[in-house]
Amino acid sequence: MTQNKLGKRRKGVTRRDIGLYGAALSTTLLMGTRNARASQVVKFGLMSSFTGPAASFGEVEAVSVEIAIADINAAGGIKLKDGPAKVELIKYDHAYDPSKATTLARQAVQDGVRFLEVLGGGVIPAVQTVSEPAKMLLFGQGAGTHWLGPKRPFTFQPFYNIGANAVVCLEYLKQAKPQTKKIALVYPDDDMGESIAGTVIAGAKRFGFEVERHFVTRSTTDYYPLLSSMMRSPPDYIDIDGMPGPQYATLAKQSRENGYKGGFIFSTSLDPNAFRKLSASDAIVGSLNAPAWAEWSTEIGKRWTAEVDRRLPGNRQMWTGRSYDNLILLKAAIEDAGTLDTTQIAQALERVTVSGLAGTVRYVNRSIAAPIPVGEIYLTSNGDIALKKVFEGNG
Amino acid sequence: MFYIQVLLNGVTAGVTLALVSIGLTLIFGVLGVVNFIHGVVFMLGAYATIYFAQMGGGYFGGLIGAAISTAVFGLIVAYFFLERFQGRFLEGAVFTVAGALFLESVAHELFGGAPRGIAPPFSGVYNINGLILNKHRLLVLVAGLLIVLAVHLYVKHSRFGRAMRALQQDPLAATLQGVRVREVSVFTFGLGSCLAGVAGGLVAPLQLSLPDMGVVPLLLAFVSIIAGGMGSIAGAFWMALCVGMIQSVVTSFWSPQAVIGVTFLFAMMVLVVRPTGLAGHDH
Repeated sequence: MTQNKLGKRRKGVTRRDIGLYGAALSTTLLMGTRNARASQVVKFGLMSSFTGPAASFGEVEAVSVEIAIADINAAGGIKLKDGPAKVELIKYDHAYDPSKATTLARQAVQDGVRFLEVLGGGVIPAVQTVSEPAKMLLFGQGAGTHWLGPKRPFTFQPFYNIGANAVVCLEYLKQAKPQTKKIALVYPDDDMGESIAGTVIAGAKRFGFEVERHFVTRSTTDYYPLLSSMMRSPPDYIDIDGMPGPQYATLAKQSRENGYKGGFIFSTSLDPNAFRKLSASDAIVGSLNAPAWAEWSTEIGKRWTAEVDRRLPGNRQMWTGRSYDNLILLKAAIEDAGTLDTTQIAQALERVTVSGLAGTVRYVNRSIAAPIPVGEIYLTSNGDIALKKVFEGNG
Repeated sequence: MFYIQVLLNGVTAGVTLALVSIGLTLIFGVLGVVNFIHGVVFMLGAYATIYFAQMGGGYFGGLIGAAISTAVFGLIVAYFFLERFQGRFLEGAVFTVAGALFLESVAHELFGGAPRGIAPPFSGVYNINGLILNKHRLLVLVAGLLIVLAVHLYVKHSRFGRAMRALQQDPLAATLQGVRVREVSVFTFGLGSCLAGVAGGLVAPLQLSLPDMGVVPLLLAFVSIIAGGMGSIAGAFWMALCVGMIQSVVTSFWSPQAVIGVTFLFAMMVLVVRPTGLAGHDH
């Protein structure tokens, strides 16, 4: 029913009405298409520490993520049923503060982020309080396994398992340095530290090592009281894990000052800058580091290395390669699922296999499965910290 | 030898904390302001030491630069802002909390989030039959004790120190006696800030510096000055030594995890026995 200028109603549809409806329909369709095109963006969040004690990790992690996203977009983006989607990166700085991370996670949900990489085993549980109910896929670049499991179906761990790395180092010590008797563990006094300690103590018992464990707060800067106690019966190796670089560099330096002659085990990524700034590089010569990814042998790995070296001269941190591999896996999983529904993508992530930096990469039980190389630390002629691969195991 | 080492570790930690605590208690005693900016000044002292040292002054030049710059910073803050909060306990506390958060954000922008470090002027340790004496920690210990002694003598015997104490005991009576309240208040804030800055500069070579490095020292300094008796230099000093000793003894004989709990338990016990604190007085 329409109304003419005089206000009289008349029945039927006029040509003018058809034109108007047609125009409206076309506009709607056009806008719909435009919206559909606009929605062809996959927002990937990176919540890391760009300030605070772990700031040296955030910048390098971001570079690896940016390289992966650039590679994906350059190859045409992620192929969805209704066309390709570009990946857009949104960064959040949690400054290694769990309460701040929770607030930022809510912000990420509001921003439309469905895939979020988070740095720090101590921070990830705080983000999960938001990400799991929101069905946001969380990729944890952090230590410990306490935040993984069937109760957290949307959480994956591209980061290596620190406990497993430490156990591989112990396996190496058992074989190569049988005189080793006693291992001291120094971990942060939180769930993550407890989780790592559980794994490592079980491994140490398997190899017959005597173990003493110490938990320290993340704000500790003076380890003299702890070390005075430890040096009464010095261990052969001190395993320092789950802390930001400045903290373990300080602990290693103060250990030497307190007369410690043994080695260290770093079952995590080394932060060479922290040792350099504390003039403590000498303190860790001969110590062990796992995973010791000195270089990638694949073509894609070499290209990644060249790009990272170009953007971060002298500050390549190989663990960030897992951020790259994770994004390539995520792209494959989204294409496999054929949807942006995170429940289906989570299932697909356990199915897909891709060529990553170190070779074939896949998720097994929500963790990336790969052999763990162990390296011995030495100093180059320039005084830079370097690694020589001495062993490989599975933890 | 182990027990001496535990004692030495505790005293060193305590003296560093005493420098922060005494500045804080002086400011509270004279201005009646709970100064949450104090932790930020500690951090600024560490950064100033690093920057001045890098500019060619060496470590000691950096430390002097830090002492002067944090004192000037304190004078400016007190002159333009805090002096007007004199005796306004709650308003002053809110202002300093906001100021501390703001300044920490500015520090993040200025200095960046990456840790900064500086080499100690005397590196290495003396090892005397197993007793480990870190050279820089010895410097911190000696310098800290000398500074505390100097502040104590100054406040006790100088004319300005007497004015500070008079203002602390009874501002109205002090004013009637001719004490220049504004000058003394501003100067006291500058002196307190200088002490925090020097403490930051002294610990800078022992750890990496970050914009939030003042949070824990500030928390422990509050424990020291409250349990030591608000406004009392002697109380803050002895309580800081107690906190340092608790840190050392509990870590060495029990567990680092228990340190904070035992420290607060001790402070609570002191306050139960003496609600005004170790050396505090009812006003």
